Amino acid sequence: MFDKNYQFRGKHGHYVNDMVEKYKIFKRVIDVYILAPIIGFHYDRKGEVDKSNDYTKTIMVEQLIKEQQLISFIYKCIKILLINKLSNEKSLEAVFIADEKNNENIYYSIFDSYVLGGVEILYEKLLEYIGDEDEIVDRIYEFIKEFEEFNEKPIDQEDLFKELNLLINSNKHK
Amino acid sequence: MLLKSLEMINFRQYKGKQKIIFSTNKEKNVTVILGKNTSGKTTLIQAFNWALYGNANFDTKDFLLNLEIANQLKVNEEANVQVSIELIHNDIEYLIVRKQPYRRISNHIVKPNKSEITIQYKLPNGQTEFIKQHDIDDTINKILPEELSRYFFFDGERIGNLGKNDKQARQDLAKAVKTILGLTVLDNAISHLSGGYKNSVIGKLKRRIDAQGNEKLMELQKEIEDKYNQLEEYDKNISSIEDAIKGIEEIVKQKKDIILNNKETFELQKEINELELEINNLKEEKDKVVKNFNNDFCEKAPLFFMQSLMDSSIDALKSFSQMNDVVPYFSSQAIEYVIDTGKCICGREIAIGSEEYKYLVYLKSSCLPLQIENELKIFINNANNYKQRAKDFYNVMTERYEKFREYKYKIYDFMDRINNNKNKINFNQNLAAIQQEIENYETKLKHLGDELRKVQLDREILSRDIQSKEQEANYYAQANKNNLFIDLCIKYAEEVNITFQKYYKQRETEIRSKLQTKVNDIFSQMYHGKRKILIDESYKFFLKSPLVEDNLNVDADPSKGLETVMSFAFVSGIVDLAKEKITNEHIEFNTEPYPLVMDAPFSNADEEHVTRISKILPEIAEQVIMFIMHKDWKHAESVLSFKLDKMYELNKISETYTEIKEC
Repeated sequence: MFDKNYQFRGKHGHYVNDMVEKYKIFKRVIDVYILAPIIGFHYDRKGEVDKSNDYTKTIMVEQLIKEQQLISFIYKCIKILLINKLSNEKSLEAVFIADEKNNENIYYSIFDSYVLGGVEILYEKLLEYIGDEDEIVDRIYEFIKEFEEFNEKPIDQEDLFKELNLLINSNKHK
Repeated sequence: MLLKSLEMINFRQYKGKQKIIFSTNKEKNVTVILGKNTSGKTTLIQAFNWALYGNANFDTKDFLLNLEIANQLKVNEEANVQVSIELIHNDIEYLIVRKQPYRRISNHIVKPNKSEITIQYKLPNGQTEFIKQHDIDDTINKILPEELSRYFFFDGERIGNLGKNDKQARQDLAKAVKTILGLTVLDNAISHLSGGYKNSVIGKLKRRIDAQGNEKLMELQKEIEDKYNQLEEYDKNISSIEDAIKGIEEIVKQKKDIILNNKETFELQKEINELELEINNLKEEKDKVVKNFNNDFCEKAPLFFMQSLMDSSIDALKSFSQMNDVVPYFSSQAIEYVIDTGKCICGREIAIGSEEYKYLVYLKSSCLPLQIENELKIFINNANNYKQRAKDFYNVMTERYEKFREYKYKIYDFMDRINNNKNKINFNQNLAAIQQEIENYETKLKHLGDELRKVQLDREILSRDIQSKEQEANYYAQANKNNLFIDLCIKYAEEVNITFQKYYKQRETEIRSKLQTKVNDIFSQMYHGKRKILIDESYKFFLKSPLVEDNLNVDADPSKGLETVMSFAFVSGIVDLAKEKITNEHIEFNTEPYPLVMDAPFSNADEEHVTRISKILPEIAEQVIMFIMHKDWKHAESVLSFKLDKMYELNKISETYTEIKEC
């Protein structure tokens, strides 16, 4: 996984091109690729590969490998939630060990559709019907603010971390 | 004469009955009427003129009835315009009422009838009596003769012109002196005697010389007449060239003013340049902030946006099966070690197959496989790490965004200011073109000047020619006895004419020097300098500084502020002369107070001079009534407020309706 070139096709390619090349919101295509699944999942927007035209925007495998740690982490987060939602057998093995049995391809294809959905939302939120360049800054900030307000919803994450840290620490002294 | 009140009924925009009571207080002698442009300030002065003398000088063919009232009139219905003035003159109270009925005679026409005037006065016993109709003109003339009224009622433009030393000012001053002197009759007499060949007494007499039987004389007479006609043409020509020159000079002056005002433009432009520089700096700063903002967004956005995703996934992990059975701080290796050694960490023996042994084996199976444990560990570590890295993201982005907004709005603000300045100076942008126009006009002036000199020279030659022809004709005329009497008449007429002219000149010089003294009295009070105003024969005035040579005095200090002060010095000088004239002719004692009514007196003055003039105004006249704009009042208020007794505001409700409100 994440070990071969990735291509945005059709409209997604154009969207990505606008965000990276035209308006320079992102430095690299892979930056869009990293953020998009998070956004797609958050809004539960799944996109489909657009085959209506041949336009492509490619991420080279070398870049993917370089950013694999973060990409895999995001993938795992999403996978955990998918397993939690979809699977009867909620085992850590299913999360951390990838194999055919664990329906890895299903999770990956859902992840990928979130990538595409996320690209669509990013484009809509940041660039659709854009006025001047200053407006992009306004839109980005609005977007961040919207998430901050969402993040501020009380989740007992401190406790969660404490518990999980306990588990980690338990293995420290081996 | 002091004005007590002015009441108007349907007079122009003053719909219905509206009244202003003026201050007649000796100490607080100022009445101020505040109003915006076109709210009807000038109409108030015209109301006085109309009530007293029956003329109002409106462009709209003297239609005085309020238009709203006029429009409401049905055919054959009538409405009245009425203006009443209460005044005190020579300790007697008068009520002057002028009324004019208007009638709608058809759907489209409302026609005024003749206006009627009545004057009532209060007897010492309190009773009132009417002045007989045939005495009305005489009464008004004694209170304030029409020809002098304009020296108590000033509008802003005239006040401004008086300080300008131009043709209009000179004419106004000359007329004032002439009127106040009562020299108009003398002036008429002089032109009756000698003004022109065709219509004057002397001209007519010359034409009556009998040339019968004397061919040479007849020829000469014909020649002289032709030459006089030619002279008339020259005069017309000179006058039209002079008018053209004055017109162009006025234009050149205006254009030069634009260039002079360019000092202000220069300041505005300087500010624009500074603002533009500032905007460039701000734009650079803004670009930097935006760059950082974008960089941060690009780098840290995933970490920030995945916070809730991370929290939810970790929360979800808790419900995964193995997680519940895991013994904290207890690894499968530790259990394996206890089993292998056959001894618990508490020292107790662990026999294979014993209960303790079985439990330990169960515990070991519940522990996570090493690979998963490691993965989980990495996952949690990463989560902690990402959380940490995203911690300040929102605050940093907010800070940057606020900076971005600050710069952005500052730039907007500066751009607004630049646009304002540009609007102010846009009419000056074409200075080079204006300069070129000035040069063109000046060339034209030069040509006109040459032409004028040429025509004047021709006229002089012609005039001398006429003189010699007349002498020649006279010589031939003497031969005829009939002409001796006519010649005598001519000599008499010429002698009378010379006497008149001498007297006229003498009186005029006297009154001009009186005016000069009065003007300087006021001028020295308003303007603390050693300079003096000198008025020459053509009513051109100069500022004379005592230590400056005469040839340098002419152009001394043309500043606008000084111009304003000078104009007020002239206003007050004229008021004084006019007062003297009335009191000398009609009243035994000359302590009669007089009002000074001014429309927009400060319209051309700057803040400093408004205050300076305000200080002196209540001293010039016993009663001061001013129609003034709010902005000018702001500056005058501090100086005049302790002299202020009554204040009104003109509230313009529509083009056809203004309401007077006491403040």
